[in-house]
Amino acid sequence: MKSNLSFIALFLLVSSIATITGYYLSTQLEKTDIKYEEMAGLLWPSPKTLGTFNAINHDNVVVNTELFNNQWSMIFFGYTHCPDICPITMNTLSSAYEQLQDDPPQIIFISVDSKRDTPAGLSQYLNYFNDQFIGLIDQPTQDNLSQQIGIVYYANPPSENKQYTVDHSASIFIIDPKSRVVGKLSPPHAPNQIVQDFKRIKAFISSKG
Amino acid sequence: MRLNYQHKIISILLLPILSIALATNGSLSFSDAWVQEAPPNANVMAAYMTIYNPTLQPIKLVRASSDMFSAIEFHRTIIKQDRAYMIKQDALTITKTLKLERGSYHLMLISPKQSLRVGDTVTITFYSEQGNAYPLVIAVKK
Repeated sequence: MKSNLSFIALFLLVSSIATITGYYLSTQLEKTDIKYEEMAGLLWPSPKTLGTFNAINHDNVVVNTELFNNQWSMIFFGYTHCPDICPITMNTLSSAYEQLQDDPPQIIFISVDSKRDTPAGLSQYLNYFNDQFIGLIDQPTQDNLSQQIGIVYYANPPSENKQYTVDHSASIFIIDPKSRVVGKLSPPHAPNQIVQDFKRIKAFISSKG
Repeated sequence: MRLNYQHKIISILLLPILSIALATNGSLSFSDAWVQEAPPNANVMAAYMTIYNPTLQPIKLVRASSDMFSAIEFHRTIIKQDRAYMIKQDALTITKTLKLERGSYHLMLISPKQSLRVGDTVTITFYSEQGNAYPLVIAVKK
């Protein structure tokens, strides 16, 4: 009887150790398989697929996910009453875009200021940086683009000059031809870095089929 | 009259008093000032510069104005965890050197009276807490 109990105790001990070791090894094996963790800005293995978002574009047309079908896109959130970070980033994206002319992505500026930004105003604003750039106005509705991509923005109280600023994400998001958010490039942005990160992410995602 | 020994001594003694006077008269120097060209329909523009205070006391600039803009505000961009915050500043305090540059402190120039292009110049006047005015002519650049 006593020897049976000892045997059971020993068996339980060994099997516990085996289970723990096996689990640990399996996580280690998973890790060695993952090289994409080293890739700057890549959102993988579960990129978010964008659903219906009903944004208005710079031509005053309602657009949806068909905008992203079969082509790569880069998205920046901003607003036209932003004097510093938005024009800087748009200039940077313009330079990066010039380097990607062999297979250019769509460059999309999404306004976080639907109160002041209009389609016509947005069109004229973006034309200054590049006439190929696309403008969208994020709508204050549920499941809008900003919510789906996962960013929030905040309009600060107006000043005595009746001007208000909007705090917003300064990242550049990369959307693949399957409408998936596959990249998030962190500021500060430089044209060469954007080009390099974009090309790497594009190559990686394309290799996944 | 011929400068005698006493005259020379007095002049030399006056020099430090003169320098102290100069050091505390509220002088600021501005360098590398430029207005960033913006889209023609932009309601706001940014101006950047380096402000140097050679005096021994901090100088606080409490407002700025220009005939070219309806208003000017001081702002600071701060990027934290990939978010850009735009924080209005009540004043710009220059202890030694203050750099207004992209992604940091800047002037927000509101409602330009006309479309400004590279090569145009604007006059912006800063006012200190002491009531001194610092006019500055700045060129628009890209």
